[in-house]
Amino acid sequence: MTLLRIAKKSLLNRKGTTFLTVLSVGLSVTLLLGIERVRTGARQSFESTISGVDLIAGARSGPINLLLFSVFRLGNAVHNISYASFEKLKNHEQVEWAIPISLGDSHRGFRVVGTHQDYFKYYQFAGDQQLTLDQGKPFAGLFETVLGFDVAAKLKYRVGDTITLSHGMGVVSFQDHGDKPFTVVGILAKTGTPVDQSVHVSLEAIQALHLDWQDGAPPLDGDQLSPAALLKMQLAPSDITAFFVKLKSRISIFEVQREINNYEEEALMAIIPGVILRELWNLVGVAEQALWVVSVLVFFVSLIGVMTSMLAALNERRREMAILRSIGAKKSFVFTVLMTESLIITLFGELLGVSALYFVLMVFGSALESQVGLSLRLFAPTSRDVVYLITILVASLLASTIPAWVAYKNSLADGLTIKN
Amino acid sequence: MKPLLQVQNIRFRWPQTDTWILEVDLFKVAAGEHVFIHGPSGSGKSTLLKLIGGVLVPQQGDIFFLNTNLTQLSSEARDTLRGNHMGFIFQMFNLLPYFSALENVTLPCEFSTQKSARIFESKRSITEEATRLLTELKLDTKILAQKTISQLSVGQQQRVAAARALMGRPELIIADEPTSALDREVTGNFLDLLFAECHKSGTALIFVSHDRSLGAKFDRVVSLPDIQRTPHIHSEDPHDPA
Repeated sequence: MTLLRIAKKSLLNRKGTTFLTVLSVGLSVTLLLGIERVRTGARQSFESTISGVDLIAGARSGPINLLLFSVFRLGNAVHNISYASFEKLKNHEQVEWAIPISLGDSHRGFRVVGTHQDYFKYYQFAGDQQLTLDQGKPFAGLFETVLGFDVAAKLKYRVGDTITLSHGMGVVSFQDHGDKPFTVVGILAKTGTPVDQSVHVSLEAIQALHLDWQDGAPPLDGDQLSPAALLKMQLAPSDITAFFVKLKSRISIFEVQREINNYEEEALMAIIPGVILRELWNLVGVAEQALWVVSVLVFFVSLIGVMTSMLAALNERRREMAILRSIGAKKSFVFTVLMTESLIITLFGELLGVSALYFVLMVFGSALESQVGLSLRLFAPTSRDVVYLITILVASLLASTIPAWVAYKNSLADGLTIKN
Repeated sequence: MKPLLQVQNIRFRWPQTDTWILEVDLFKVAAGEHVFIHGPSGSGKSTLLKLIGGVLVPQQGDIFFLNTNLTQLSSEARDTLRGNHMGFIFQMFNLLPYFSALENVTLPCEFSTQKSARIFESKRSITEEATRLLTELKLDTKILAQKTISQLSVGQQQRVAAARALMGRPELIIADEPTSALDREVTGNFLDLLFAECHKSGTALIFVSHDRSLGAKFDRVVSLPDIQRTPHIHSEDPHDPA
């Protein structure tokens, strides 16, 4: 009790320095745990880009390439696959549902996804979250489109606006489908996934846009089919880029994957998205490691801060230690007082750091999640957080043995009094 | 009867030096005796007090205190002995600034069960005893309670330090130039009060000062150069940060 009382009163006697030291520990704890949250949040957001899908199938190429263009809308497919193959596999006895996607067009830099209405019904992200419409309704007509949240926000589109699509990617396109405008009928709510940057139209619309094209080239003037003419036509998609598959039972994943991989009529490939997502994360995980290294460095800087502030105060505290010794405190007591002070500083620093982190998460967490798509929700400290806090405490105590030892040595040399 | 303190044939030098800076053949203090030690600056007064207080150990000789040879004790045991049976008053800055005067006075009892036990024997609580001592030393505890240590005058601070040294009736009080920062009148009052309290509790007093005129009030006056085997003035303690 005496020890705690002396340590507490002595710290309060040096309020300014103590407060700054606690603040520096607190900040480093906030940063360390905050970066940890960002790290796990980024990983979770990444891994939850798509969920509820057991297999993704496309033309045979590389698994990461297939994942990149089908889920992240990055890069391009090597080949398309025939709609007939999709139909056949969709009716496989193990398949619960399958959603086709057809890529290749864009609107002012945003990818156009030709798909089925089932996309809005079945597509899931971040665990079990489904796509919801912020405004409007899913497309039903041929020249109707549903925009991802970011597309609408960035280009300031509203339901009822008309847009035109372009062939290929690029913000400025030289081959556009300007003769066939689309009406925005719906805008999706924010998901924090690449869906936000997608323009969704029906597969038939993709077919309609390219029906009058000859060998990959746009039609010559006069050869174009008018939207009115197209609306009267019975359009059937001939090919798609990839499709998402949900199986009735996850047990059959490998069996169905093998069947798709060995599909005889066409060179197909199926991937398990979770597995490839993790592989991909390992590739981009260097950034994650860098963040971690930065946070550890921040922590070391604050440790040095604690040590320095204690060492700096030692000289002016020699008298205090001498007084304690003269009234009966043992040499080891002087060492223990310093260690107790460091314990108090670190504990309060940790308390401050954790409180600050929760405050930031409470105030900015949901905003970050909706704006950046980073999942930083408020939850109880994880076991990893606890390990970090204990490590910080132990490291801080270890670092404090240096000033405590110096104080101990000083008090040996000083004895009971300091001459002035 | 054995004296309370007996320093015999001691020789002390700082490590890594080959000059003896203190050589005393015999120095005794009887129980309840008030001894005045004077000597010029650098004559080894502080070193002698550190040896008696058990902070330093001589390379040769013995220091008996309460029939225990301090030189045979471990450092921890010397600390315990000091805490239980000695009280100290220094020149200035005796008090912990972050404690109240009363807390400063009661603090030694938190390090010594024997001091506490002696107070309890007199049927008083530790706070009551501290208040009694402060009052005896002409300090108003009500006024003291309203002030921080730094707001007290040096004279008041020294009386608080004296009360702290007297807590738990230690057998010996060591006072190292406690009046050097006080003017003559305050010094006189301080000494009178200190003597009175030491008499009441039967406490011996070793009082060190360079001011010989104070010696008249003591039972015995000792000149440190006189008790040194080869009286000399050495340079300042190389380990002393001052």
